[in-house]
Amino acid sequence: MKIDRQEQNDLVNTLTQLQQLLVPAEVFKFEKELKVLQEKIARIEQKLDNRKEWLANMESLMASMVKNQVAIELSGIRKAIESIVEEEIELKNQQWQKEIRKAMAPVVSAAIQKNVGEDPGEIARSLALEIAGAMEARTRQNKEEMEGVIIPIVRRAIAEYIKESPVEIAQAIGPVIAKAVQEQNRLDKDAMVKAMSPLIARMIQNKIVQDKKSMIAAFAPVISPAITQQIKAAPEEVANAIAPEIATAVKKQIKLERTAMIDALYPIIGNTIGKYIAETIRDINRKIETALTLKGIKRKIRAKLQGVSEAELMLAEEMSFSTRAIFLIHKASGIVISEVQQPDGPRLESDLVAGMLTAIRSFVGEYFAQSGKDSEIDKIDYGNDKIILEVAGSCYLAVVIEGEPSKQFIGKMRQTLSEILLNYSQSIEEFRGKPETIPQEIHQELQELVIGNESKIAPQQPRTLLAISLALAALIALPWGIHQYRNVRSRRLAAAVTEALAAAPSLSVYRLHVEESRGKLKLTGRVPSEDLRRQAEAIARAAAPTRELENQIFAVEVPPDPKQTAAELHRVTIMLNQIDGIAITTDYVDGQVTVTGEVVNRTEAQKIAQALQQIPGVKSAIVDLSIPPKR
Amino acid sequence: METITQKICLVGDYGVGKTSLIRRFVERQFRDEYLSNVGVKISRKTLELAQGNVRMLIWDLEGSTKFQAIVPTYLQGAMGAIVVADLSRRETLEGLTDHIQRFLSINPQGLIIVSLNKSDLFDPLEVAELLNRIGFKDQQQVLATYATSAKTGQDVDLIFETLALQLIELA
Repeated sequence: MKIDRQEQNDLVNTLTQLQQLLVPAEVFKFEKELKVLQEKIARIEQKLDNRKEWLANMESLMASMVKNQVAIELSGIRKAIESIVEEEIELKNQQWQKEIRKAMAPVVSAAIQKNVGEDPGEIARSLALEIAGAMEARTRQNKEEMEGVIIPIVRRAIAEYIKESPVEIAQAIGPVIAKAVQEQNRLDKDAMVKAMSPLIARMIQNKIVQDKKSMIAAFAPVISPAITQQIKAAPEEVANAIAPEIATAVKKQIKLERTAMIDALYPIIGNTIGKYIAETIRDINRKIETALTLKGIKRKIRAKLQGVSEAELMLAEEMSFSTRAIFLIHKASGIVISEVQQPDGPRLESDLVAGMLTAIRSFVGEYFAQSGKDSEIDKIDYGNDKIILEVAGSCYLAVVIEGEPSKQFIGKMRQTLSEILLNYSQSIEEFRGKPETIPQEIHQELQELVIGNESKIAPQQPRTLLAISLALAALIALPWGIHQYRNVRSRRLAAAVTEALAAAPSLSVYRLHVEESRGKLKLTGRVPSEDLRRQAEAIARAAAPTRELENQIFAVEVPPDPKQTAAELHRVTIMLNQIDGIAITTDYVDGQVTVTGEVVNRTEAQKIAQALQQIPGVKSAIVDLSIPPKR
Repeated sequence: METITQKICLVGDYGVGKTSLIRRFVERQFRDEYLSNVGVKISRKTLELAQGNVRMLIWDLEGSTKFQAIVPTYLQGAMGAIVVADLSRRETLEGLTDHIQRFLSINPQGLIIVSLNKSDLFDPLEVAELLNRIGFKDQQQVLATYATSAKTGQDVDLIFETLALQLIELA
């Protein structure tokens, strides 16, 4: 340990002070020290003549006394001496101490100074053993004095020691400080906070400058939960704080990781655009629906029947398409991630198609990028067929289509790509040509896009057909039913009228027809007289009172045919004979009828005569009928 | 057995024999006339190796200067490259380093095989000496350098197979 002159002086002064405080108590304790001191005292006493004489006298006196008294009473003398000696020594001691202190002070200082200079370690070692005890004792006697002396030394000593061995100090103090802080914290938290708070900000700042990494590591785990909590507690505050920077951050991120940003935003943008398009289509619909043309009305009816919008129908009228193949392609490498092809069509070489499409995309992209336009190729037309390209960040969909795809299909395609990106963007981004790293769900999504495209319209067709068939059936069945119903009713009515006419004896012999047409009853046939014609009309009217009647029965004067008259007479005779109580025979010769037989009464005989006379060709009747006596 | 698909690129100066190497490898034939193409031509061949099948999508990049601007875009996503030079044209040998650097700047993990083509025009001893001299031993990503001939077929399969083998082991 090297000590410079100033420090040596300070140390000596300090030790001197300590000496002054501590020495008296130590005198009796340390024999060695005492001897040295006694020698010094002896040397001092030699210098003081009067004291020497006193001592010499005392000694000789004592010696002679001892000699004289020993023989007399050894123990008594010893007791006497002891008390004297003790008193003397005490007295001496008190006097000496003062003297010694006065005398020693300059010497001790010099001696210590010298000794410290020569061998500070030795001095320290020799003093160290006793200093603690001495200080303790002294502190008990006069605490304040000790404090006044020690504090400046301690301060300085600590400062020096810290300077020399900071690590050791830290190690030594560390556990104590922790405990102290803990304790203080327990006792008076507010005071601790007050004491520490001004330092904390500076401490953190300083630490960040010194060791940024460890500070980041320390803060990192709490930042996310802290933000989350703050967002919950004061969402507006957080929004206000972040908002101005978001645009800049997004721009920056796009610059740094364009692909990742596209992947992240694609699902949202796709939906937004989808919604916008849907809105636009609704607008178009509203406009179209107000335009009334014959074709428009027809379309309107079809749209209602099929449950789709008119615009879709208009598009469908113009367009029809089929999906040949769908490829999900890794954007950078052009490797096929997943594919679905129509099983019945010619199979496309997916690897080569995907590779060439990727090359074409790159080519176009590169050359347009050079011209300052940031655009993507989104469609390749060849003849009636197309390849639709829907590009996201790390992959793109290529759909090979025959015909013009519907907007609905394009929307569905975008939706599918959105869903794939939302759920599997990481697998796609990290795709390195190993098919098993691609989730099966992606393939299913593509398959659904093809199947969904087919089945989207399919289920509506039977429903539409059913509706149309039902409508047609109703259209046909209803009038038919009404017609049938009317027919049945008419037939029944006609039958009833015919029956009524047949029931009339005067008419039953004529062929009269009853027809029902358009709510009217039509009577046709021929009767030989106007009277019979009217009679038939009256009977029909009575049988069907609610119906309008058209009487087309002709009354004709027919020249009588003797054979026909004879046959008619025969027919009438049979009919009359069927009536109970009548049993007649008729004979016809030259327009004259002769009737013989039996009747119940005279009235019946008259009726028979009248009936026979009405037969055309019968001019007269000779009735020769008998009435049998009543039983 | 699983099949992995890997994109590899053939790069090199104009007329060094890239397309001929692919024709020899894929179609087992060679044409003396140079088949010029428009920027890029893509071929495919599946190699059946003990470790698995590798479907190689081989992008043959046009070596002429008019397409140089687009070459970096074509190189994207390639797991490997065969960098070709013409032994009969010294300047194409000098251009190898640039081609290697450009490929690695886009695909830092990509693997490279150097093919010194048209070796049939030279004495085998002479070629061997040259091979020894041009080694690219300081380039970690360069797997090997071979003297090839699309005309005779010498080591053509070897370059593709060596690359495929490394790719399947890395995949």
